[in-house]
Amino acid sequence: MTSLRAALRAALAASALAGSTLAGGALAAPIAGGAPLGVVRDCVGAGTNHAAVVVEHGDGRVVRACVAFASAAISGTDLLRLSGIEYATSSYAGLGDAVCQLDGEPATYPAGCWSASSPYWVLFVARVGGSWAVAPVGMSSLSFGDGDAEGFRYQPQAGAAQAPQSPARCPSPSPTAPPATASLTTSATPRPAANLGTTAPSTSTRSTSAPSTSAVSPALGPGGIVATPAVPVPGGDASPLGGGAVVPGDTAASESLSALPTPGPAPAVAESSARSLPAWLAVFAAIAVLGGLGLGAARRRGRSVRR
Amino acid sequence: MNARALLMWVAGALVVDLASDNPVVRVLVALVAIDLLLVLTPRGRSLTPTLVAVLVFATTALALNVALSHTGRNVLVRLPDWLPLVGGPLTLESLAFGLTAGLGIGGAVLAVAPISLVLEPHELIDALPDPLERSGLAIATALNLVPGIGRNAVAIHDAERMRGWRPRGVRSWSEILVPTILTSVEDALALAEAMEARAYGLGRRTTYAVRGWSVRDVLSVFGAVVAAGAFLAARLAGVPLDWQPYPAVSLPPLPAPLIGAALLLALPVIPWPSRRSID
Repeated sequence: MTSLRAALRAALAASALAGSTLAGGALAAPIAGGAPLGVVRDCVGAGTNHAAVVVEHGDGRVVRACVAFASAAISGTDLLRLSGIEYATSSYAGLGDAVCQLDGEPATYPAGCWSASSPYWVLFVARVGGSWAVAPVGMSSLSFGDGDAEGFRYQPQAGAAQAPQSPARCPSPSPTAPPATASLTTSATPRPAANLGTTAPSTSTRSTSAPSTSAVSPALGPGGIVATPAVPVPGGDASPLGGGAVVPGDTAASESLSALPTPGPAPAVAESSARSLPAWLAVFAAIAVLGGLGLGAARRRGRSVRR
Repeated sequence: MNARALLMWVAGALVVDLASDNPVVRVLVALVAIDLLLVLTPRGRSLTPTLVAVLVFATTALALNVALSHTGRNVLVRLPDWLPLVGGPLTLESLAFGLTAGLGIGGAVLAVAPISLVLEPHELIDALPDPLERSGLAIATALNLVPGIGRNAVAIHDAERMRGWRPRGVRSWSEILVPTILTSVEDALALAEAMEARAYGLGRRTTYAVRGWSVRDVLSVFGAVVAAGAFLAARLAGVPLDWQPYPAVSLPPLPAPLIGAALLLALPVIPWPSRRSID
């Protein structure tokens, strides 16, 4: 029974956990609060489009990365791979790939990626300045364009999903925007951030207990990833853009990023629900029409039977 | 309704129902199928057993999923962990997934129900392509023998018990099985002789009445083909059709073109001005 429950739980959780690598566009964070903010000094890769990756560990550490790419869209798996963050996945058929390990966490995991009670990696997606939303499928089934972001949070199976707190910022939020790399780079220098190249070994050993899983640990680009402690943001939402944190001495970044649209606090699901209101009305109308047709047919049928 | 048109509608409805986990699509398919049954089922044939069976299937799927799947963020009730299988949290997400599964099963059963409730056996045989006519007839005849074999087995079992027979292990059942098989073979031979006496195999099968194609039949096939084609194409193209309530339940997506395509299945239930071939 335990194995059955674990299998069921794993299959179901796969839809949420799976997306370990969604592409995020270069996401510049509006700055407001008073917490350290990880800044990606340089984007990994080449291209005019940018996407961000945010990984929040169970102990609160946050890893951010920015990926530049030339194509219009990039798959979640490719985004994570290009980010340089170590990861391992397990395929869940139609749901896509579930993330079993990210940046060395957890150190080991069972063949099914996680157990019935273990924490797991929840995948979040943010579209062009929007808020974080739990991904419905695995990262291999998702694609990301310029300005999107992909977030991961390692959390227990019980309780509500909490989006990654800290935003990720790419130096250039869009191909047409002025290059923000310089301002970010210069303003970010005082930050006591630890480069992932030293804190998260890219050659971490892969768990071999799960034969169906795949692991990737590409080399990190210089300065491409910055790890900082995650700090709760007072009044901040779950947006990868609107973290509400400020970087001490990051005036230039603040100025260059303040012109960017500030993401609203409403969840993405609510926004999409509002947009789909006419569609829902149409569906209800169709159901009402079909119900009316059925009632009419039933009445005619009843009358003919009585005769 | 023309049997071939109805069979194509059934196939289209099945494809639409099973091609997606979207509960909205499944609700639409189930409603359209119920409407079709209400419109086309001959008077005197009750729909109640079919609807009850659908309700039982759907409820079973719902109950099993809620009881056995303890995944999801919104916990409705928490049962003690020491309870086997069902112990643990019962979640809103498992309830939603169970509803979707039940809708899928119910929609599929309702989609194929017209084959047995609307069509007569000879209409099904007529609907087969010419090369498959004899094979279809043989299969249908063989299937018709199954209930007869059951009746023979019960009768022989009762007769043996009246003679003092009692089950004494597996071997003793051969005393029931052998006469049952022999009786069935005799029945099959008698049926074959009867069919041969009616000129079976000497030429193309004659038909009592041929039901032609009406405008409604053509529209039904058109709607079924377009709906099924749209869903299959969307599936092949990777368009997100499915809805996963885990880990936190949310509203299902509403791809307007596909919802519209699913509604094309309702073409045969719309009261068109001309209904000559329906009744």
